[in-house]
Amino acid sequence: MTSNASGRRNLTFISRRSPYGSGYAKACLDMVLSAAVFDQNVTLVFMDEGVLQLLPNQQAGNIHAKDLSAALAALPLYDVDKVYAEQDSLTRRGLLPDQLAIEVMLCHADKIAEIIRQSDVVFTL
Amino acid sequence: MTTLHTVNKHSLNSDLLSSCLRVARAGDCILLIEDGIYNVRTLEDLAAGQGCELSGLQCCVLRDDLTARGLAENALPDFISAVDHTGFVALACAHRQSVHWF
Repeated sequence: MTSNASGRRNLTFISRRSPYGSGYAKACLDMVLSAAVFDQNVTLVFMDEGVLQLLPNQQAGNIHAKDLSAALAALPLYDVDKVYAEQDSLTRRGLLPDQLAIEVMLCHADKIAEIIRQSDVVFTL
Repeated sequence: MTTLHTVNKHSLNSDLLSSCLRVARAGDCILLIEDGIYNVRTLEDLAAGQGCELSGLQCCVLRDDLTARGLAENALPDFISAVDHTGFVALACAHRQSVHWF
């Protein structure tokens, strides 16, 4: 581990599940926000089905679930500004980058590989 | 700064292995565990199909998961080796990060 004296570590979260089919997406987002509260250097990456969390106009109340995309909007308030979405995952699901619920940085697998290598801990959920 | 990737499902049922191969880089290790061991026969083709170079990667299976499912260690392709649970720990220690694809 390469944590510095302040205990600040590079934590990467790869969120790769759809928002309401399981509890993973919410768990991942909760972990991201918790880590951010503890002043960790957080990177969040959406890939595979995870990019479906970025769809706008989610009305999760209709299925008695909490709206995940509303929580995503809180990321900047927690100073989580390194938020990426894999371009290929978006494309395969017919999602356009300019029609997402929040602003994300688009990336390819090479960038994700680089992020992993620069991380102290990687969570995939 | 290399990474240990574990994969625990068959590529015919999930995109886990495909996603893993997309971000695995030279020096990394892919360890097939649980139902991931069924990938031993398809790993090479899957990698080739997505332009992934396997030669720079170390490919392993967890021996107990392999034999428990009726696959034989001596039937593994040359580029895949079997490790026991101690070997699993050793791999986790040998790489800076572990990424669990599940």
